[in-house]
Amino acid sequence: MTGTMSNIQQSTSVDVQKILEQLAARPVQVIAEQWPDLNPDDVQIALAYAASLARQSSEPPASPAPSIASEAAANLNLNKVLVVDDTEDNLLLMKYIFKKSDFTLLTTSDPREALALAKTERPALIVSDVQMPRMSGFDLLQSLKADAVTQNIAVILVTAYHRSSGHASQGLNSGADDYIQRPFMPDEFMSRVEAVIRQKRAEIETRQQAHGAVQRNIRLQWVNELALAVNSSLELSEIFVSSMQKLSQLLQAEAVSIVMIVPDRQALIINFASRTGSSLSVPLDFDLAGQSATRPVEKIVASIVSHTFNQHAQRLGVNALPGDHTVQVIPMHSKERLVGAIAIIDKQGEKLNDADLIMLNSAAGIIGVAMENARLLEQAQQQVDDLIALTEIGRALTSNLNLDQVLKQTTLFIQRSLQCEAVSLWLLSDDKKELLLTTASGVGSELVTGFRMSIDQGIAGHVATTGEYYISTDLTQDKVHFNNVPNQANYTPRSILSVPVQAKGQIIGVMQALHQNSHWFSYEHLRWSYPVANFVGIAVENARLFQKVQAFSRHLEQMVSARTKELAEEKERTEAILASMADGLIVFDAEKGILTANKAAEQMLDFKLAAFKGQPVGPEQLKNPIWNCINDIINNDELITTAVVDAPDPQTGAVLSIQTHSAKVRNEYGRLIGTVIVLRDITALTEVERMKSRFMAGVTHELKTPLSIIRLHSKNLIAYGERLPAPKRNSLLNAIQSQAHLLGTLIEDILELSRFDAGMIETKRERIDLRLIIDKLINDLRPLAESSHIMLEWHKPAVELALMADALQIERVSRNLIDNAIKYTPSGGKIKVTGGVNTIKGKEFVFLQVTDTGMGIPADHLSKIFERFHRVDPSHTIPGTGLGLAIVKEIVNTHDGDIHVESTLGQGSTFTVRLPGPKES
Amino acid sequence: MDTTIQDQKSLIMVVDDNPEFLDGIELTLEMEGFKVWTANNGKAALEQLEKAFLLKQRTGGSGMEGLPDLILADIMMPEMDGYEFYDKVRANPFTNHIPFIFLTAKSGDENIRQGKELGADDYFSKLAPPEDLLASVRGKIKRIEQRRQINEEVVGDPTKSLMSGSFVAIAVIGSLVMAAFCLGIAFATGFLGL
Repeated sequence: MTGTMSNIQQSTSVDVQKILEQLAARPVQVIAEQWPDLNPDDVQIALAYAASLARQSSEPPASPAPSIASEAAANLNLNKVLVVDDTEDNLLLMKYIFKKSDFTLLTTSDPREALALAKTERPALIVSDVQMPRMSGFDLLQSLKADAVTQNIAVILVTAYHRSSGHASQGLNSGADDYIQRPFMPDEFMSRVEAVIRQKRAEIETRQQAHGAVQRNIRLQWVNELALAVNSSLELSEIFVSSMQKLSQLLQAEAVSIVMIVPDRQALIINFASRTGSSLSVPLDFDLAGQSATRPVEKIVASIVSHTFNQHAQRLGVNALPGDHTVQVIPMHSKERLVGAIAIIDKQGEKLNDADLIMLNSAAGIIGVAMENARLLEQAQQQVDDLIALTEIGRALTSNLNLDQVLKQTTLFIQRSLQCEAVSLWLLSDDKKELLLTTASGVGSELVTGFRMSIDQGIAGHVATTGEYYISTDLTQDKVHFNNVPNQANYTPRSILSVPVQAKGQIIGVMQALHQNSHWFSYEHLRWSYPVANFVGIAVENARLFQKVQAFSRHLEQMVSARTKELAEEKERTEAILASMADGLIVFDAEKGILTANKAAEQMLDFKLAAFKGQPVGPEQLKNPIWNCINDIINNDELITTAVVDAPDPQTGAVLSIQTHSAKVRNEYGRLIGTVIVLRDITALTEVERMKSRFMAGVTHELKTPLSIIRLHSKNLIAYGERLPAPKRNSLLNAIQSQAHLLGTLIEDILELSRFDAGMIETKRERIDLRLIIDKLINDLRPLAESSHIMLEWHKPAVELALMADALQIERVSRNLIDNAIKYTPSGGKIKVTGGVNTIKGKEFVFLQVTDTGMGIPADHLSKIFERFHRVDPSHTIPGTGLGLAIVKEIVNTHDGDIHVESTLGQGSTFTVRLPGPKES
Repeated sequence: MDTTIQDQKSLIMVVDDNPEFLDGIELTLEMEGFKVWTANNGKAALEQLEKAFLLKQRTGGSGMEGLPDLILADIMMPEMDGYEFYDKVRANPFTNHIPFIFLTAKSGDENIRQGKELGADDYFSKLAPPEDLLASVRGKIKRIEQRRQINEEVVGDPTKSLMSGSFVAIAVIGSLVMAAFCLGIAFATGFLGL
């Protein structure tokens, strides 16, 4: 990865250079138009600066010129002296003079040869005659000074003819070190030569010292620059490239390499930079730290670097140097720990001098520290990035409870983060025997999703079974775990990273990342994948729990809604019951306000609940006796009360008897929370009671009357019998008998009704002809009718009035009806009895009709005449028990028939009995 | 006493809707020496009283002497029941003084109380022993006889006391004047109108 990065870096810097040049060539106005926000002056300055930068970076730094001169100076031979003279005698003399000295003397008579000798022999001093043919001493001096190689050679001019001081000053001005005139003393001459040589020696020494200082300066400056460069950059690749390029330029080596130990990985990253300016980064699995314990680091690194360099030389744009190159290694330490090494690769024999080594050592220290820092920073940054990524995944996973969505997002995220081509997530089935490819992203994800696989198959199965991660750097070489997922996507991954997904310490699935390049996944990826897998596990578990909770909550909701519905129905039912209840119900709260009331109560109390809700009983209402009673109840502390109030019916005005039942309602702490009052209309009940007492009065009256007559007559007979004539006695006795008979009938009727009530009447079913019964009755009753001067007509039908009935009971019905008609018809009236057969709705009925011209029945009595004890005539003018019609109705009902009456007051009544025919009964 | 009663038979009116009972009570009272009028209901009884009053008046009497000495009446009767009949009798100044006994099959303390509260002189159940009724009837008649006797003694013996005699005379004259005055009204409003 780092290698790739440095390549990019390099190409980028070239691009920047080009761009800057192009920019600098452009007119300022064009740029100003393109970036109108910029000040043209600023642009110009910026361009000028950019151009200068571009020039600086494109031009290699100039080699330090003084170094060559100083080297030339350092090469002068301080023991050699060259003498140039066209006169042989003078040369001999010089040889004689120098014979005694330590100097090596070179002589020549040709100044041109002298120039050549000066270059090759590099004498420290040239003693030259001034007057020489072809080239004078001055000319020679000028030529020597003009050449950089010879300019440092000391020159002494010797002359015989130019005695004038002008010549001497000309010679000295031209740069000669001394000017000696002939004749001279040999000793003096020699002293002068020695002085010049001494001077030259001192000069050379000074120069050499200065050169050393400059060299040190340059190196220090370089180290300083290096330190600045590496410290200003936090990118490992930048540090490598910049430091290696500097080294390579400075040392003029074939290539420079920085080897970095990747901690905890037993791996190395070997970086190269060649003198051509190209760079390269090669990873290598090698435990340098471990190996260095047994062998010197320098040797190991040298062999590794040399081997790697030759492998990749072509890519670096340099020739491989098999066998005949030297690799010098300087180990790098940071905090006393080996972090890597600098290696200088050069042709055989090119050795570094001590100054360079010293410099390299300090450079190694700086680079080592910077590299380590950058590496730590990169690591920290990677961890921060990982953390951010993990947090993002965690947030996504835990914030969303839709499992499918979450897993899809997660796999996409993992795919992006690992820069891989496909990510798949397998989840274990409930029985833990199968793996289901739940979610996938990347290549072919649509095709493989949903694929099922037995847990004993494939890498996923292996990981799910063992719970251990699995990294395959090249699947095609992995014979053991060749993936058997159907290759529908026509995609052949070579790298696979497979980690178990756990939740609550249990393996619930496997997460896999795929890439078709080999060696794609590293331990770094694995380290990153584990927490992601954990997050996925938690998310899956959360989502499953959520699904369970949701299902449970749905169930609860259903239960609640069902229960609510039930309650609502219950409430509706209760309300319906209350509303339809015949009894009035009114409830007051503890503050004596009306809480609720049902319809019956509203009617009885003549108020609308809606208008009075929450209000107390008002003064207007207290006029009504029931309200008055209610007011008493709610203001009373008695727990339970019962009372009867008579009040006018608000609708009809008739007097109603209302019975009130009240109860105070208390809560569990005994505090009064309200009063419930039930209002029961007992008017009908009272009416029954009244009827009963009326009946009792009537019965006693009817019983007493005949009894009193019997008693009176018998007393008369006893007391005055002897004084009475026989006919009178007989009539009294007859009266006694008939009254006794009436008594008997009355008692019979009461008893019979009691028997009906008790269900003790046995109703026979026999075929009878109603006509025959009526025949007999008419015969029986005709005398009675005639005695009252009433005409009794029997319109006997021709057809048989057949019934399946109890003959005695039917006779009773008929007798009672005709008897009644006679009783209530004044003399001169007429009673008509008719009968017949009718078919109503396909059913056969026999009917009997008794019509009289009697007093008629008042309309308000019509509905009551069949009730027991009811008598139309309140003063009992007409003897009777009030039970006759009640008995009739009882019998007709028993025979599944019906009876009804029509009557016009003062004109008469018609009673019609309808009984089912023999087929129907 | 017996002779007096026999000479001047007291007149008793019996009102009942039950003819058999009417027969029986009539027989009893006649056998006990009373003169008996019978009527089937209150209305008929009132008519009979009116007739008798007018008859006596036409024959030169005050009319009051034609009225019965005592009335026995049932309560539950058609047309006009015993209570209404009683009210009419009591409301009329000429019949107001006549002792009135309810004789009924109605029973119960409440009915008796009601009858007595109305001001009836007595109240008998039809089932009560006839002797009791007779005793009450005789008692009432006796009281009437006593009053009549006292009245005759005071009016008929002026020596007894002038004051008293003149007082009685004035009273009698006054009453006669009043009676004469009232007669018209009585017959216009009382018997005819009621």
